[in-house]
Amino acid sequence: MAAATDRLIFIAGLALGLVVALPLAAGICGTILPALGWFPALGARDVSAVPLQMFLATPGVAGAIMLSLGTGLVATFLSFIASFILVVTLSSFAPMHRLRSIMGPLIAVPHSTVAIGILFLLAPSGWLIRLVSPELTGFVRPPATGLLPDLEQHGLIIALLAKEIPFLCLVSLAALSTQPARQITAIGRSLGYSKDAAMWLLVMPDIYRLIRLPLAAVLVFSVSVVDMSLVLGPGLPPPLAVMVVHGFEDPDLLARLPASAGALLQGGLAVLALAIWRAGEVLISAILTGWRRRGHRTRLPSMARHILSGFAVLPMLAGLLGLIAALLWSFTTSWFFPDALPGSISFAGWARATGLLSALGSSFLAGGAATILATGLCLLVLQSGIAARLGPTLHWMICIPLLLPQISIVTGLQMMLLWTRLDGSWLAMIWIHLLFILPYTWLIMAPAHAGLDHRYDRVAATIGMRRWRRFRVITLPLLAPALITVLFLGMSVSVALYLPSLFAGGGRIATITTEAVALAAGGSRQAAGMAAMLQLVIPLVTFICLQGWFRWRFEKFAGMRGGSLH
Amino acid sequence: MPCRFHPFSFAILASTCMSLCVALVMLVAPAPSTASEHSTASEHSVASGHDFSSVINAATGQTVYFNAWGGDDKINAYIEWASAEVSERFDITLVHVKLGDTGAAVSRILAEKAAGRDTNGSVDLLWVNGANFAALKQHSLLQPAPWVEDLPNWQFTDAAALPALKLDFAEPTGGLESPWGRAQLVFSHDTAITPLPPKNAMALASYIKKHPGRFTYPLPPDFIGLSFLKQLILELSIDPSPLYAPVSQADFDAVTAPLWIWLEDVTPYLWRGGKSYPANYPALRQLLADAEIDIAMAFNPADASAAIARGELQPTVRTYIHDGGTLANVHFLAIPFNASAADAAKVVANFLLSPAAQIRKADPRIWGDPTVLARHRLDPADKAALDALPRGVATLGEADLTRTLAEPHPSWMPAIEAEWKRRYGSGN
Repeated sequence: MAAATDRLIFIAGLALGLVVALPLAAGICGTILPALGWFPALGARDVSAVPLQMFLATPGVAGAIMLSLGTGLVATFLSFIASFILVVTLSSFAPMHRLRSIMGPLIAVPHSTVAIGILFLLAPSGWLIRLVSPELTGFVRPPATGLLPDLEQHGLIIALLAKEIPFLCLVSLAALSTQPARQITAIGRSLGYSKDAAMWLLVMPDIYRLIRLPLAAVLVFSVSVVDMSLVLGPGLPPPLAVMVVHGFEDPDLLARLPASAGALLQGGLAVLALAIWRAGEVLISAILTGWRRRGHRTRLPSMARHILSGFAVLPMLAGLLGLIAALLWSFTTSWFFPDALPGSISFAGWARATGLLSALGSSFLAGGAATILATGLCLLVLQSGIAARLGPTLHWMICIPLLLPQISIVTGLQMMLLWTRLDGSWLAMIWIHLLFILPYTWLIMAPAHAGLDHRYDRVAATIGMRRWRRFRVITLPLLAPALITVLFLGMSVSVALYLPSLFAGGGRIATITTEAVALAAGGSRQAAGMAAMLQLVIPLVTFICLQGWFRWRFEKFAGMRGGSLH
Repeated sequence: MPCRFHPFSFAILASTCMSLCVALVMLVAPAPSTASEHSTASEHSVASGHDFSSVINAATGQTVYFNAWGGDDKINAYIEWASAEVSERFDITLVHVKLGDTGAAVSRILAEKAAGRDTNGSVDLLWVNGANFAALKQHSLLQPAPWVEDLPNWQFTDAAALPALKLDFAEPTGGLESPWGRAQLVFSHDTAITPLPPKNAMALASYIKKHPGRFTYPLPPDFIGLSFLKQLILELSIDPSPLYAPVSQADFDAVTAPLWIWLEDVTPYLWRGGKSYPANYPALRQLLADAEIDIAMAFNPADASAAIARGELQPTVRTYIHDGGTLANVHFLAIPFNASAADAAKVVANFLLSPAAQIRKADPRIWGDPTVLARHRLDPADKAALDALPRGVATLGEADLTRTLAEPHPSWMPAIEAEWKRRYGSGN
């Protein structure tokens, strides 16, 4: 028994090392060493700050840094506030599970799809202006500046909001369900707080503590986003991460040294953003504590509350309208300004979409394999008991890919893949997807596994059931709701991965997301619209299959309904 | 089970150390070179013989990774057609690797060379011309032996009539890249909005200032964006001769001064105030279709006609060129030194040079890219098929397209790009 456990632990440790530690170490080394000027294959052997100086001398780099930092902080702060407003308003308003079932599918929409939708909606010649022109605006041609004075930055912020508000809402609602919120608000109300004030001052601070990791992940992602900027760009200067990607595409190989320095700088920028966030956290918590101490009984007029909730919903509404605009574009070629709707519907684009279908297949393959492997690895780690022994170290190691900008890892990883001749191979593709899916899988599986009632397992053991059979017959079915969530989320995360797919694919393997971004940047509305719609196919199909299977398998168990994906 | 030495900690420690070692070794290790690689390299040189059927035999079953800019639907569709054809005719799998920027593929080949990957490279066939070809040639990244004139379909070309077949941006091709198509910079405008477009650089400048926000060009280093800058400098220079010699032999500041004066003057009046530029010419075309801008440009004279036929542009759009002529060049297919399937790549290049493929490519309903073949060398049937192709409603006649400007020396392109970035790259 003990030997078997040790063997399992050894296997789990080895698997973790191979899947997480190896690529992370390779990626980080592959970024840091060239950034310091150490790349002997190119004859660069002098460790110095020259690459960093060279990168900092790129025209517009200061603007790029400020743009990234500003966009990231503003988008994260706004989506955080909006999600809390929604959680507070709706927790007392609609049955919780209905809200969650609406937002579940929303978070499965890839970032680049949202960006394509926002572009189609809010550009000067976008759908929104077309809808009201020329009747209300008098425009027979698109205005020189559209609804947003700066589409690249403001559009990017709106797109990020549309994507992150539902995510943070779901995470907060999940955290809320672990708290005795109703009792706390009841006590608050008996002390004279309004219901909302009780939620904001007494419940939400605890929720905040629970969602810090997802918030940090959102902040890091927003500071270093590439795919959305490419779709909504190219502005000048571009965000820092886009500048780094351009550096890696330079025909001059030595340009990779400053570009690596840029990737490193991007990592530093993420840390800076987290530090600024932390400072804000301290400040706001001091203010809130002061309020609570003084016993402020604020009462927000319900009107203001509704307006605030309305604003919080607006970005999601824009995202949704954008998706409809993308759907319309996928079925037309002739849709000239200022027509509110396409003049004619055509399936010609879809008939030519064979190239996109193969990219869709690649996404399915990479996502499916990586998701199944990630789930398997999580189960292995949890069952082996290695988690209990490693404690928080394991947790942080698995979550690193969430807290480092993707560009800081994948560029270094690509150098390594190039050397090992694995670039453009399926192995590299699945491996890198696995690395980025694993944190999400882990964050769902670990609590679910911890919440298992081990008495079932023990009873089965006493009647002589073997370990593997107990795992299959008892543990797996008990984990089924979590497993379903994990499989769905894994597929959704995988479809959305742009940079990792771009760098691991080495140009040879195109996923539907790399295609969508290329087509959107290339200006072909119909093709970009089709790619955006196909991006939604994977989460949708996964959702339907998993949901169907879950219903079929667990129909008889009344207690397990309402679990699964909601 | 209290135990001091946990197996898991060993496993994690071991794999972390291992990964660090691997990382270091990979960064430090010199280029590996083994005897077996040389022997496979010599197998590829079979193609230099005159017997092309042996090349075709060797190519059977090979997979060609064709790295080609993938930003235009109709070009992608044409390549898909070609891959179906070569699969059926020669049992070759043609995979289109869609590039955003050809420079990325050049960079990858260079990285492979630096890594000592002399065979089994990731690129078999590359759509290229100008600066990228010059870079490939300069770093010896191309097949060492000339192969183009051994292609059976080379007989249908006439390099005497079209010197650009052997001279790519003033750089001799040396038989290392096979011609694929011809290009000339043309501008397009919607006659319903802009009946009288400006037909030279100075007229364009005053037009832009009179219609703020209605003109832009693709963001350099996009190929069309840089070409537009070269077009301007050729038009604005009193003596363009230094542009046809390497940039190192000229006074860059003095030669390019007219360009920067023009841009200084015009940039504040560009689309979005010159703080944002479209990514490439299809994006520019979309802006014309949206009527956000008045004038678009493309290197393919039939591009506007094809877009009208697909319903992507207003039927009132027409094309024009500047009075002093516009840039014209030929684009090519090259095979890298370390191609995994060099034989199959040659077969594909030969197929793409065939009258059937060239006529299909010239059809504005398919792609509309002018052929590199010489009409007088074609069979009567092929010549008739070529002549029967519709011109396209917005395409200029052959006579209008004779006013051409030769491409400057390729070294000017990166120099102009760097200076442009320095001046306008930060959006201020």
